[in-house]
Amino acid sequence: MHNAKILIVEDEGIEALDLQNRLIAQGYTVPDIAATGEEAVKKTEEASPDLVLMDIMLHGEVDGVTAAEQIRARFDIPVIYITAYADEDTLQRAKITEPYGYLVKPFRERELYVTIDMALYKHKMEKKLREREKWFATTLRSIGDAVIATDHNGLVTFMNPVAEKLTGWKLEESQNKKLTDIFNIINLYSRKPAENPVTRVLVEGLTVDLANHTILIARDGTEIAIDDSAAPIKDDKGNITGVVLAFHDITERKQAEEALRKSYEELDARVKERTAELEKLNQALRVEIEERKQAEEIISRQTQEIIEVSTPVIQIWEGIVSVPLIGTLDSMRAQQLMEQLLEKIVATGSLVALLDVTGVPAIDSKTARHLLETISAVRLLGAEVVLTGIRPAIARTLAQLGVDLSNVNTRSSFSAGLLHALTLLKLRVVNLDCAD
Amino acid sequence: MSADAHGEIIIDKEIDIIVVRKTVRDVAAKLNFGITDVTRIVTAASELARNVFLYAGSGVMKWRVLNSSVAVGMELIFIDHGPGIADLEQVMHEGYSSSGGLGLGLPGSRRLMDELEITSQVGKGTTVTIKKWRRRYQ
Amino acid sequence: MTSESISVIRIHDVLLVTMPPDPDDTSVTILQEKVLNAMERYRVKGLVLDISAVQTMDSFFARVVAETAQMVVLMGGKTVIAGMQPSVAITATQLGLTLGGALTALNADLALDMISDTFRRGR
Repeated sequence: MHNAKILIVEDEGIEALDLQNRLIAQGYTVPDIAATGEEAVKKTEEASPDLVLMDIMLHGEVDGVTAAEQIRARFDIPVIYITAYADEDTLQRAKITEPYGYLVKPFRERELYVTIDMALYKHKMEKKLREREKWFATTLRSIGDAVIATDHNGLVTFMNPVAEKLTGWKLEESQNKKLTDIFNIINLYSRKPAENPVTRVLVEGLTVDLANHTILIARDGTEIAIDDSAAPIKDDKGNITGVVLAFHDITERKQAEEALRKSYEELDARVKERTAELEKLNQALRVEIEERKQAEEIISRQTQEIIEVSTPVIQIWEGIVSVPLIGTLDSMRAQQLMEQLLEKIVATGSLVALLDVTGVPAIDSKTARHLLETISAVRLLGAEVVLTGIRPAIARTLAQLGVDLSNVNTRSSFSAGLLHALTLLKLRVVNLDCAD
Repeated sequence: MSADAHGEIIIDKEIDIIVVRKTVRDVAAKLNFGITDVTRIVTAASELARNVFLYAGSGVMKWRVLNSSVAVGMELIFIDHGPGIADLEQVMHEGYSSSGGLGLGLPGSRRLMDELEITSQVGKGTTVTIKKWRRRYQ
Repeated sequence: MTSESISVIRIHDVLLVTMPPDPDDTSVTILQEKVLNAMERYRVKGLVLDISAVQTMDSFFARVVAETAQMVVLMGGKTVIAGMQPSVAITATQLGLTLGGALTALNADLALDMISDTFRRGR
């Protein structure tokens, strides 16, 4: 990596300068050179280089390994050790500081550059990875769902705060515990342990959703309704390396559902209650209707009888029947009248029917039509009608209505009509005194 | 006569008009219609059955007993698949007849009955429904 | 009801036809023929059509009766329809039936009176 800033820590001045020249010639920047451990830490802080080339063996109290340790702890800057020789002990110490490279003097120039570039690259990648991990961790910590991760054996490797809260287990306590130890789920209704989703994911290698009505029993025995899914974690080659379990508390939703169901049931009960009331009311109404119907029928029958009485067809002479009409003549009465009159004509063998309308207050077109119909029907039998009681007012109305009575025998009074009827029968009324 | 009594008569011969009249008379009499109403119903049925036979050649009369809370009734439906009627308003007027008859059939039947309903489609046929009601007294 | 059952009888100078309760169209049509033939064959003054048994008179029946009456009139005779039942008379009126030039009588006796002097009683 060109232009990378490299701090050289070397107590041999000549070697340091030589190294500096070679690095600059290669395109690196060398902001400073430190000769002691203390100086190395200080100058790292000041120059904030991209990399530190550290000689292990330094004069003074702080050797290279110690200095590197401090740099690593404080600044996250990669360190490459350079040494002519090293005893086993020092090497072990050096290893713990996780150096990014190790150059043994004398080293070839190319070896130097490759080691530097590798270290820079590795550091950059590690930094990226750390950032990503941090990002993931932050994400997992901040999402509302509980998340638990396990390795391929089903041992817990991670859980976020929500998962901690729901299960009642801390991440530190649960790490490397079996998932089933901290994630205890049962079926709401059967109260039997529910299938462990992680086991299923590990076996099937697919994402699975938890069955409905699952209850999580937390560490303190609290029961929480949850809804969840579990998904496998796979490596590049598709091997399952673990499982991620995500779940959330649906107690509120369940409660809402329950409340809804209850209110529905209440509503239903009220509707049923109301329906029953209405049914009762209906029954009462039916009874009342039935009673009224019977009453109506009685009235109707009485009306019928009254009508029959009100249109009495009487035989007033051999061959003559008479009907005095009183009141208004509606359709029903007109039918009654017609039937009774015709029956009587046939029964008595009468040739003339006197239809007296003296008692009819007014004649409208409908009444006139009924009368004409009656007259026609009587004629079909072979008898004749004499319409009597036609007062001036009624005559005028009939004329205005355009009722044609030209073919009908009409007389103004009943007695005149009777005389006419007798004439039709070829009978004559004589005054016996005069006849003599 | 039971409340849901019903039946039907095929009309495709002239003599079927007599069968219609006889059936209608029997049913109407059993329903306790008065003699004049029986005659009215039978006469209307005769008119409509003859229409079916004359204009459509064949058809059917369906009859059934009607029941309401206050009345009993008789319904007759005449169905044919004849030429149909183009102008219903015209045939319901007095004096109209498509075969030179007296033209009293439909308007006359309407006067004899309490209800008359007619639907017709040219080329498809005609359906005439008539009803007569009698108030219950007992 | 077949056409054979309707017969046209001559009594003196009158033809008497007694109609069955429920005559069919063919019988009614044939009857018209019979009446006209009889009118031609005998010197009669008229026709009495006794319909006292008839329960139903629809427009077809009424038309044939009206036509027959018309023809009898044209041949110089009278037609009297006798004994129409009240229910038939009411129905016929409401249906709008007319009987052409036919006269009516309460019964066949009176109808015979109306046509022929032979039967006329001194009233």
